[in-house]
Amino acid sequence: MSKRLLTVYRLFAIGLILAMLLAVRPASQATAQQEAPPVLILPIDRATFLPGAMFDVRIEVHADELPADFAVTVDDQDATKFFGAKATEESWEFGPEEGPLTPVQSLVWRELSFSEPGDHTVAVTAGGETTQVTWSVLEPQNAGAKNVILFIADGMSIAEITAARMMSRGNTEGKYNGAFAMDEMEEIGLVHTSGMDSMITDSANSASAYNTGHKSAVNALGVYPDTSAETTDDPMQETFAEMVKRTRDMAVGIVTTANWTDATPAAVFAHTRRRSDQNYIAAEPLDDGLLPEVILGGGSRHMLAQDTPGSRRDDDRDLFTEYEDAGYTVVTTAADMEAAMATPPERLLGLFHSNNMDVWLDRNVYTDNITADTDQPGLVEMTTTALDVLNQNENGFYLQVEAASVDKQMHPLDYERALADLIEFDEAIAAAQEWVQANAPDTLIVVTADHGHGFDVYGGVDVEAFNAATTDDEKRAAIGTYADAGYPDYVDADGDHFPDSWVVKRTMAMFVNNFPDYTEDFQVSPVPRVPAIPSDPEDDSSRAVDNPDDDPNGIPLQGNLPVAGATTGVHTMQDVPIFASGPGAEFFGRVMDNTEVFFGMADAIGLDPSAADGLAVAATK
Amino acid sequence: MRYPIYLITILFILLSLTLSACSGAAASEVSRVTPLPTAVDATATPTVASTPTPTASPTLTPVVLTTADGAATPLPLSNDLPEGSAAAIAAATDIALKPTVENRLTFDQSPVPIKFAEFYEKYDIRKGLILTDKLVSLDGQTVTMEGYMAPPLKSALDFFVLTRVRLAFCPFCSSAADWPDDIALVYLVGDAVPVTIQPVRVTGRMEVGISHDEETGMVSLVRIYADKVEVLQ
Ligand SMILES: [Zn+2]
Repeated sequence: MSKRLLTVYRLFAIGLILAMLLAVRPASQATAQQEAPPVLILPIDRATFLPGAMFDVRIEVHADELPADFAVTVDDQDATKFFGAKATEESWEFGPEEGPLTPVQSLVWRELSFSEPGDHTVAVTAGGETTQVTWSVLEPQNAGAKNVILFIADGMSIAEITAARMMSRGNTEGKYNGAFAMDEMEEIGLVHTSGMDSMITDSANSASAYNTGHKSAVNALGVYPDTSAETTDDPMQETFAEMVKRTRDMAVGIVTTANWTDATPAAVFAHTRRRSDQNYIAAEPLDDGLLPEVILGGGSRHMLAQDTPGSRRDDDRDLFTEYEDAGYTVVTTAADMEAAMATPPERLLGLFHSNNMDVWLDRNVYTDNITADTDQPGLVEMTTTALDVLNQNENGFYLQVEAASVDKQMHPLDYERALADLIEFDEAIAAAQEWVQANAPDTLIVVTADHGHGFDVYGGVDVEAFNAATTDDEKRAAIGTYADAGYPDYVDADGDHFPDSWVVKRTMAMFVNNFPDYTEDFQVSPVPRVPAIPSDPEDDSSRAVDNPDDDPNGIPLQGNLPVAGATTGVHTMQDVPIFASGPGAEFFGRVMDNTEVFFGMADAIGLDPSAADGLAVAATK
Repeated sequence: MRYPIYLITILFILLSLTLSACSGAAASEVSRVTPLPTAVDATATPTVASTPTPTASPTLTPVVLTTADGAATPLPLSNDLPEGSAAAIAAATDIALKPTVENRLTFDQSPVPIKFAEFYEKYDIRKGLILTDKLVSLDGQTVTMEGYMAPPLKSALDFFVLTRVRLAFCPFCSSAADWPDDIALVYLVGDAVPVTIQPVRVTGRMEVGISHDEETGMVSLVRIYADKVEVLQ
């Protein structure tokens, strides 16, 4: 059992408890008999909704049976009457195998929605005490956009953008020799990323907030986490994609460089407490009926029937065939994808890797590291292909594009691989901007990250001196700070925005603020980096130690992460930048919670799921 | 604190949720036999790709650990099944799983040496792993293979997973982990062997073909019924 997971769940527990305690409990008028049982109300206090957006409500009372005075009211009206439906009663126990188990009595209402804007107070009385939460249904706006593209670079923080820009565009006498596409967008803001369980988020939790407008917890997608062991019964939050499809018949697209069932892409459509249920997630669009018009990425191993060698499924479903039967054109190579676009198909499923796709640096420079047998398209081609398929829908589209490996490479401190994928991400934004200008100017483009990493640059490194040094002190002397930092000497003579060579004489002293024991040489690693390994190969929660095969000539650094099992860096708490252009962009020029991103996208296209045509009354623009 | 007992309880349940959520396949099934758990590769915490230590090709003095005659120290097993029954279950499913051989190769030595690199021709996105003629032709033949024991849960086994590279994680217990494709399930015909982190050489009859046992949840593509496991030092 890995310690870090225990930690994550411990934090989740604390968060959940906080959520429960924060729910207002006015003083009890009950006589001092037995203590009132704990009550959990989901959605949480201060949850926000669009009118017509569907959601489930779960009330938990942690007791052997519902107290005699048990009552649920909404705005002082009996909940059954208010919701117009009777709740389903459920009960379970939770706790460690060896006990003690906590009994739970629960009521759940499925697929509710509010018809109008306004605030509502939900009060649960149990054992003489009342617990209450307030929910707000917001007024839909309409900025007149037809389409939305949400770009997410997983794990991208501001300093990563700065370092990638330095590598990509170069800087002369303090002025950059060019700007990133995202630099030139109309609005910039900041997003808070914390979840209901913890100040530090993961990609499931945060992408879920963007896609639903609701908070969730680490590992959860499109649900509020309840205490039952079942991972698919947690109260559901309808996603942006589900709403625009259900009420507006818009097209939906998912592009990622990860498994398409990984947390960020899955947040577009999935509802599960456990993001690692990738086999379940892979079949969810078929089973739930939300069929995105475009799915491009990796992760074919979750599509193959279990008897197929290389499958990770545990059933006999051949999902490629099922998607084909559902009307998808299936492609598996970049060349096939291009060929298929001669006549853009109505639905396109392109998977190019059994798992996460290879990163830009390995696809283009260190090609010995490629782990697929197919030619994989890059993020730029996948993005423009998706746009061409989606744009066939006259009702508009929602496309989410993820550069997954900025995060996946930041974790193992493989900065060049992470930043090359960040440059590729910006190239995809540039391509989308160009596409929008030519094809659909009424498109809102939002660019953000789901959380950061504690990355920054603190100097410049004289590589020759560093490598010639024989002592650690001499190596450290090769790091120049302030005036001695100078500039790195990456060259982009061919103008493709990527350095022509990644081996240079002067590099940046790049680091993150949290790391295991490892060694750092400030130079590109020709093989994907593994900075630290467990000291006991039989126990992944054993002390993480420096990997002797990684940067053997580097400076040894004493880690500052918990020693048990933490072999890589972790996500950090900082706000992440958000950029926007197009109709509705002005929403994003401020500091906001991650749940608000959903409302910014909804307001841009005038989404009102309570209206017959899903459209908010009038464009405000 | 208002609900101290409650707080502790909820903490426990969430810990146990972790067990079921993140290594559930492992925790519940491993105790019976040795299933290859389904992928659990996504978690809150970062995934590092699986392979910290590149394999140096194992060589040097073999030390015989156990033989079919069984000279090994008796050690606790990692499952509740009687010793040897995992192999029996696997053998039963093997019968139904003869791969079709189009270009059968013949071998003029026995045991036939085979490397993990010789298992697959390629990964086809829709057809999965394409097995080499050599691998398919070795179904039922005696082979010898070198690799590493995947870190198991317990200290001795009558079966184990042979891997190409030394895995830094226990695939059964780490949620960040996922089985690589380069693995073979090894059943000891004789007694259990103690776990070692050294490279091992396994000799025995190879069976090829996806095997998944309903009862045990066990899934494997390549199995070796080993007469001999040697530690290479
Ligand atoms: Zn991450």
